[in-house]
Amino acid sequence: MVMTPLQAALTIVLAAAATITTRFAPFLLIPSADRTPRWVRYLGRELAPATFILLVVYCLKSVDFTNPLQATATIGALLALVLAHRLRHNMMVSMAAGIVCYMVLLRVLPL
Amino acid sequence: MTQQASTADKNKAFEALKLALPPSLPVMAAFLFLGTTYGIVSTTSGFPVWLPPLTALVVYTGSFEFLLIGILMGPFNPVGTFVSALLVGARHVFYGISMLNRYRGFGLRSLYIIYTMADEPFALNFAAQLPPQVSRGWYYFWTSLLCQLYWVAGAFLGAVSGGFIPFDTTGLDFILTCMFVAIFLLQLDAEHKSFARFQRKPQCGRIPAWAKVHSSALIGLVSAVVSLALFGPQRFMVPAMVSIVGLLLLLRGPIERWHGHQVFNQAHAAGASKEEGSTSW
Repeated sequence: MVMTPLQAALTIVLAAAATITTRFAPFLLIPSADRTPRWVRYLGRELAPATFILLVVYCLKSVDFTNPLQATATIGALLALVLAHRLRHNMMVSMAAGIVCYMVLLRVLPL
Repeated sequence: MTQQASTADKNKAFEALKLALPPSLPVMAAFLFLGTTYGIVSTTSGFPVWLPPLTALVVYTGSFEFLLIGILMGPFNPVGTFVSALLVGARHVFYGISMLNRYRGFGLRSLYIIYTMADEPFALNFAAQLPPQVSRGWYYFWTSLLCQLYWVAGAFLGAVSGGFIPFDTTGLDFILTCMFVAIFLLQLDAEHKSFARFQRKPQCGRIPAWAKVHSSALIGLVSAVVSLALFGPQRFMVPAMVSIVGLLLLLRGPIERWHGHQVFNQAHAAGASKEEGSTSW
């Protein structure tokens, strides 16, 4: 390791401080429930679907879709998930369908 | 009297714990797997056994903790570290905005809940449909505590295991992708349930009704994909978030109309707060 132990400790503290800043910022900058500006309330209502599709893209960004095994397992699992959701509209059921399908495909397809 | 009050409190806390445990189990599976991976990578890079659990407690941002391993092996770069951590954590700001009214008011529990507001506890708490008698403060607290516990446990196990895991867990981290996709699909359901009735029949204008109902999801998808294409996997999150906020604010007028928010404003004056956040979803 190139840096000294003190520098390493400082690095960790800085990482923690930055993370804490991002988490507390909205709660500290916006004073209270009643005095929230209208446009912030609007965002509070509307951000959620956009946030989650962004997280989905974030999770899928490192999937190598040119690799046939990865691509088939990922797409197959997601199709199973969507199908399960259309049938049951239940988060746990959909997740179970997705992960089981993925783990199975990952092991079965190479054969 | 104090005795009765504290027993009632303990019951509420315990009831909330019972409710919070099952949904957290998929996160347990994923975090034990990912956390163990983190612990192993960290110790095989030469770091002491206590480091991974420490960062799991103190930094608690999965992706940045992995990056931190590389950062700690290089030269001391305080400004670079702080800025990178801010950028990687930028999405927490979105989470805070979405939970602005729901996470406040629980004293020390609120402090802990916000401190540990990572992707997964946010997703679980956001999607939670709680019956009215359940204590929200305790539910959010337990969910957050359990998730961090799983992460710290994973990091610890990975650190001490030295790379030896008895069974094949390949692909288990995909469960997090499944969770976010499942919650996203619930969001689409909720958009449809809340907004479909505000669309006029017969259709007028060139924008299809489904696009108006799902405008937030669409804005998110387009922003994310275009940003990913333009900036690459390492740098696309912040531009995507800027684009999402920008587009949502730019189209605020039409979107409020399409989503019947004028109607909601009148209901809001009467004291209804169900449309804040999305507990009604």
